[in-house]
Amino acid sequence: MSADRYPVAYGLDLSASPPVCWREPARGTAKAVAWPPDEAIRRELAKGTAALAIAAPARATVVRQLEAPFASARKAARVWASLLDMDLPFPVEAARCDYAPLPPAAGKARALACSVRRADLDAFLDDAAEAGAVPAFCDAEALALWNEHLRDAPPSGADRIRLLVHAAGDHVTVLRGRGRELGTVHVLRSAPAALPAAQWRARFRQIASSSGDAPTDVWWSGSADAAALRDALSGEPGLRHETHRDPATFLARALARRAADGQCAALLPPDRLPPAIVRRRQRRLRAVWAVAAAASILVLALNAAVRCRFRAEDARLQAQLSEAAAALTDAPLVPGQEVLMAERALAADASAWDAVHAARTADPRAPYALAVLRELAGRDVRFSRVTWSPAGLDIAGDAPSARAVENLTGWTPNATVQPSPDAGRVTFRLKGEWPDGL
Amino acid sequence: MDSDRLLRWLALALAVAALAWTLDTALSAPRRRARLDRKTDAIRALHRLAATRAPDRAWIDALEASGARTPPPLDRLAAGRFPDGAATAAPRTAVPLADGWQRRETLLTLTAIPYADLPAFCDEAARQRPPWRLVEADLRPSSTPATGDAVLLFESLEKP
Repeated sequence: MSADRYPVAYGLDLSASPPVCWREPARGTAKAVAWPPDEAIRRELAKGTAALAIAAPARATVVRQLEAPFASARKAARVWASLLDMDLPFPVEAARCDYAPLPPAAGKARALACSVRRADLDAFLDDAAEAGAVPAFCDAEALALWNEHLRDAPPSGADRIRLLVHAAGDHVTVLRGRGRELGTVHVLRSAPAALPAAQWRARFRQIASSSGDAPTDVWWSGSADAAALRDALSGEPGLRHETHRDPATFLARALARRAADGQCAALLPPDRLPPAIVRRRQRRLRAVWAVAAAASILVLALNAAVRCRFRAEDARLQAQLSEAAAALTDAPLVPGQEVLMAERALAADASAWDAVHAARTADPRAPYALAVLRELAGRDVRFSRVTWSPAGLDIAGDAPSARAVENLTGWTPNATVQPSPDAGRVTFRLKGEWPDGL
Repeated sequence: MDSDRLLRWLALALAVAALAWTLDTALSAPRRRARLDRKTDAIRALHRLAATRAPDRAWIDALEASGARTPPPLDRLAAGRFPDGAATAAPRTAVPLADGWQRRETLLTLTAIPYADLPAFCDEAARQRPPWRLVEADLRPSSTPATGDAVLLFESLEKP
């Protein structure tokens, strides 16, 4: 299938005489248009703003259902050509093929393959070019007919067998399907009017009775007059006949709609694309590359912005760091060593500033020493000497008893107690460090 | 067609460059962040260091701004509290500190003083600007209760 989408698509039925052309716009009313086209349509097609779809004739196209031995569609895509080659009357390498995926069945991937010999296709495209048709799409007639048939007359049951008889100018195509699935394609290479009724009936019965169940519905389409064919089947039992609306434009409508939806089979060789379509695709590809380049440039710019932001933040922090370090040290700063240099500078004059700190803060030892002395004095202790220094407190004197100099609040000195010459008293010496924190 | 090919190769080259640079930016982002965090931590550490010195610096600057660069002599302070002749002050050699300030110890000898007045005297000395700070004390009581001699070593800051 093609991925291209167009604002206007044309379907051209070259099997009709004269050719039938259908215009399918994305917006607006679809309608039949004359072929050869008028100047406006010619301009549209020349500029590539509209696409033209034709159908490779059913007599030259082989349609087959393929089934892969595994469920993976991606793996199956690699083997479709090999599977189709076994069933083709010509080598697959000498053909143009297209594989439309079908719903898998019983865990196996399936596809509807259509193929046309390259030589036949080239001949057909040359004939089309002579008729003024340079298509963007070359679809398969059978697939286009069946697709339009399902769109116009959706089947009510999944198991109902139906036939679609398309009476073209120079051939009759009969499609047999079950429910929505296309089964077999049969081509009678004779104009409908020239087909003998008996031959037609026999062929029809053969087609109808192939593959088991009998069909219940027969739908009719095509630009040729199929009344004789229909009458020839009036005696066939159990058949209901219906005609698609506007049967003459059926195939052209089918081709135009599939072209508009991008569903056409990709049978057109790339070297036969109209120059306008080639230019259109090149422009789109150029736009894709340009957008990719622009996106990359944007990403590069974002990266640059992120890095610039990091660098700016780094420079700002470095400036703050240098300023903070310069406030603490006069030495030339070495990047990365600011804290170390500041610590060294502070350590270098720590003793000086320790003296300032000591001068600024209240000495906690004085009230402590006073409290000890008052406590001892309250126990009738007489002091002979009190020495206080940074190392600690040293108190000597005499007391009523050894107990009087024991259990002092918050101070545990070394105590030396001896009997005193004064009766009833002891001499003592208390020597100890300042408590922790003083 | 040449320009198409050039555009395609340019787009591919730019895409590769964008991808490579984005990868590098993403992979180096933790390293860059760590670098910024280190500097932020270093700034905080320096501010903490400055903060430890700041109160002392502010105090010394306030002293200087108020003109209090030398403490009143100890013997004069003692004369206001203790009997005449009881106090003798002997300043020692000054030790330089920083910014022109120096530390000087002064030995104050008090003879036959009531010990009860000593705490108040030490408080008064500590309230001077710059303050006198008691470093060592040696009390030798006399036979008279709560009196005796005191040898006190004070230190103070001064800026001649």
